[in-house]
Amino acid sequence: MTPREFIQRIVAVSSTGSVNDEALSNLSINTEASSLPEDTFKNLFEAWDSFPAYFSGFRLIADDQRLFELSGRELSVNDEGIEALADRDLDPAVDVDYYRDGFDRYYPDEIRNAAGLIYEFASKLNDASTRVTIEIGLQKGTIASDLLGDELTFDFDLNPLLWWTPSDFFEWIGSHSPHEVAAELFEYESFPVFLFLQNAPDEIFPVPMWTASSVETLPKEEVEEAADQYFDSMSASRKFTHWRGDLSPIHPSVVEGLWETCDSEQVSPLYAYSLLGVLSAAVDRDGQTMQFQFSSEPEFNPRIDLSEQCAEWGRNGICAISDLHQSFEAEEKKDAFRDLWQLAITEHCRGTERGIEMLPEVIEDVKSSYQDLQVSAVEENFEALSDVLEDTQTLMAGLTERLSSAANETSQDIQRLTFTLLGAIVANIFLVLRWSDRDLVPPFSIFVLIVIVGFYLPLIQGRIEDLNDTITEVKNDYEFYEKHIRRFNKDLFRFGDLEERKSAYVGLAETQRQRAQTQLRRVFYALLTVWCGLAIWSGFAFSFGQPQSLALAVSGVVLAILSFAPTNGPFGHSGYEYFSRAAAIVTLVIIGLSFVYPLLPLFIGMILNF
Amino acid sequence: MVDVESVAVFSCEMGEEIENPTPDLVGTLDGDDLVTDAGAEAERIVASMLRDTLGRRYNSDDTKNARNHIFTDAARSASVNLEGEGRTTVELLEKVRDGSDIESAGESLSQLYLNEARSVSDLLIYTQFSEYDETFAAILKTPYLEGAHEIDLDHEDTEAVFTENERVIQEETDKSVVYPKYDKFEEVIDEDSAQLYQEGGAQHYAKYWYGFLNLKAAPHPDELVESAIKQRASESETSAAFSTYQDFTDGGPITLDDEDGTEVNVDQGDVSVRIAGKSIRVSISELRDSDNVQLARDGDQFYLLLSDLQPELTVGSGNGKRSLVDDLSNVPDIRDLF
Repeated sequence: MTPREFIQRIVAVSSTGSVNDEALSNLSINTEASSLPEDTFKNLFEAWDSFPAYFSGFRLIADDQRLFELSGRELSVNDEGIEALADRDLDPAVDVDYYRDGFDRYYPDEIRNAAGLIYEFASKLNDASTRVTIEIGLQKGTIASDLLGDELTFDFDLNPLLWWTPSDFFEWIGSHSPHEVAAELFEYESFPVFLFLQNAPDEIFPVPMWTASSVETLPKEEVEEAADQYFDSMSASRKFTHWRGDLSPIHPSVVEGLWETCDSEQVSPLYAYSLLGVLSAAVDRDGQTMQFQFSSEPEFNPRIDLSEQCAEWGRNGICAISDLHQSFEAEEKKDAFRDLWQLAITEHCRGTERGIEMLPEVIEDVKSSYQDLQVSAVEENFEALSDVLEDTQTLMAGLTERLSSAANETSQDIQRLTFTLLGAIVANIFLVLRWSDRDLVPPFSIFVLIVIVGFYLPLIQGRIEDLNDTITEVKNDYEFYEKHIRRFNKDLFRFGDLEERKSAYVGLAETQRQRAQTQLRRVFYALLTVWCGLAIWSGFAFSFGQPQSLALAVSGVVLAILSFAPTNGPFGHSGYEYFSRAAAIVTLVIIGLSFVYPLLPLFIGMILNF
Repeated sequence: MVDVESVAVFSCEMGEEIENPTPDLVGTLDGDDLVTDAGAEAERIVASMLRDTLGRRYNSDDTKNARNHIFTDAARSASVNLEGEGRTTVELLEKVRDGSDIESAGESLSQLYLNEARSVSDLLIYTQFSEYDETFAAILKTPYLEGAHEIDLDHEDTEAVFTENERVIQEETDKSVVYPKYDKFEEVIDEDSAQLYQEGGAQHYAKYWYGFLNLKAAPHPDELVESAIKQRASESETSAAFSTYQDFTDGGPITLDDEDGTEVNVDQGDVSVRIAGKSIRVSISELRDSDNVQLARDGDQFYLLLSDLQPELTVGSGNGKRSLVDDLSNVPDIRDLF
């Protein structure tokens, strides 16, 4: 026998009796034994025998005497009851002992025969005007778990709950405090599945309410979807509302379906509890009254007895609050907006005589207050935005200024270099023209060259690198501000344009840097070429031992130091971008040859003399 | 309607001074004797005792003093070990049942009774009777009266034995055997079994009473569980059968290795829970897996939780029973109590 067949047999038994489904874990069925068909009666005993764990009670009572009853997992005879019955003068007489013995004869090995005998007994007693009732109690939790357990398995936990009919279920909800209902039915970690033995609405959303005997038809995917929504909304309600003490979080979207299905107002307190809970910042309980904290400044935390209040509000009142919640629902997960609507509710209910009781009447006012508060919040936002725009302009101006000044300084340095070169040329011309002494031109020029190459060019290279660093810094600054502004509002601000402007300035600065670098290199080559010329001149035109030879030797040493000393030391130049070691070596060779040339006659003379 | 066909009464006296106890015939009443006034009185007394015996509840878990016993193989195959006796115990019982030789069969059976270890002095009544359109043999054991066998039943004054000297055969059944076993619900005779009753047999279901008829023992579930727990406890390190409560609840079926070496599952037996000065009997299987009976603990305090749909609070009993409380709906909620 499957759990499904079991409940079918139970339902068959209930058809002539009364069902009492008032508790979460148990339900009881009372029926007159003789009103049942014999087969149904036997089926019931068989069901009992197959699933004793499903029963919390099972007994047969003749008038007020118990005849057979559940003792643990066994059915036992109540001898006292049997004897009391045997002592009565029943008419027609019933051989009570026969049936009592018969029970021992068949129970527990032949349950159907035992049931048949008891049925006969009950019929005989009925003929003798003794009413025999059969009373059974069912463990709803065990049955529900077994029903679902066989059919459905999910990644999440299920909380199967069995009820006779939806109206019994709603009655139970109505007879308990909302916080108890929330704690018992809507667990945070498990998804409730309500199974009904009769009149199930067969709905999945927001929580399944399904026929117990056809759980196999539950659409698995939809159940999963409903469970996702359930866990989402439950965690939202837990996250955004502070449920103090042992109060369980609950979300209106979970209760909504129940409230709509329920014709009477039994679910209203629970629905109101969830609605007000989600609308407020914190919920607390004090005995029968609930306290909802809407705002702390100004303080508004009304206490209400939900059942009384719901009776007063009626269905329309709850509808109004539900409407209010729906208009806020989209922004439910944003703290800023929650503050606003809590303020709007406070504004309209606080300080009035009836306090929160008048909430359903002021729904429209609360909504419009909320809109107003939202508008002013947006205005504040815009003000802050214009501040940011100003900041942006300042940033761009600053960037531009820093770039252009750095670039300008570089250009100026290049210009100074040019002027220095011009100055050197003029000085040479002056030397030649004034004293017609060409002899001083090579040493003087070499001296100027040493100064320019040794000190001036590195200075300019430093400037170019500073410009480079400035460009990098400007880029970093821009990124920093961009993040800052983006955090504020990315939708309102068009970054494309700003980026374009910044890139234009950076591009300009980079072009200038490139140009300066090229020019510096050209100057360097030019100076080395001149250096070579002067060296050849000094070598061929003047004999050894004259100041020209000395100048040439010194310049060779200086150039060698510049080329080969380490760059990070005080003298090395080889690491600079303009510097070409190959060109420097060529120059050094020429200087060397020019220095050696005047010595050739001496060597030849020495060789000849030798 | 119980219809007594014939009766034979034997006095079986035991004692240290008697070397070889033998049964003494008190008297025999057959069809002709029973029509006399004295015979009718004897028939009335025997019939009354038989009705009492037949009305016992055999093999019910609730009663331990009335049981169905199956014959051992020896009861059918081996002749009883008596001089000049070539019949088996079942054949002897059949003799009583068909009434043909009730006196000699009764004598042999009485001798077997006396031969059985620990049997006691008593008066044994053998009777053939019919009921449910079937014929049965019965052995009734009544309190022994010293010197009863000296009364001559064949004497004219037979009536006195049963009436005036009422202490000879008291209308009080100590023990009884009904052969064969009859299932009145299925209307089936089972010649392999007999139904035995022993007054006060709850604690002392005497072995000799089924031993002399070569019947097998028929232990009650409680006795089985007792043996099994004792067996288990003797094997365990502690003096208890289980070292922890969890071992008990999670443990497999409790089994008893019976004489044939087969394992018998004895979960149905009762254990006695003594709590708050009350002794409550619950079955092992209930304690293990029923939601209605649970042992619980809170710190040092233990609770036995019994749950039911509709408990009864009553005074008096039977038809004089009265309820203490009518409506139990405002009994405190369990969660408020703990």
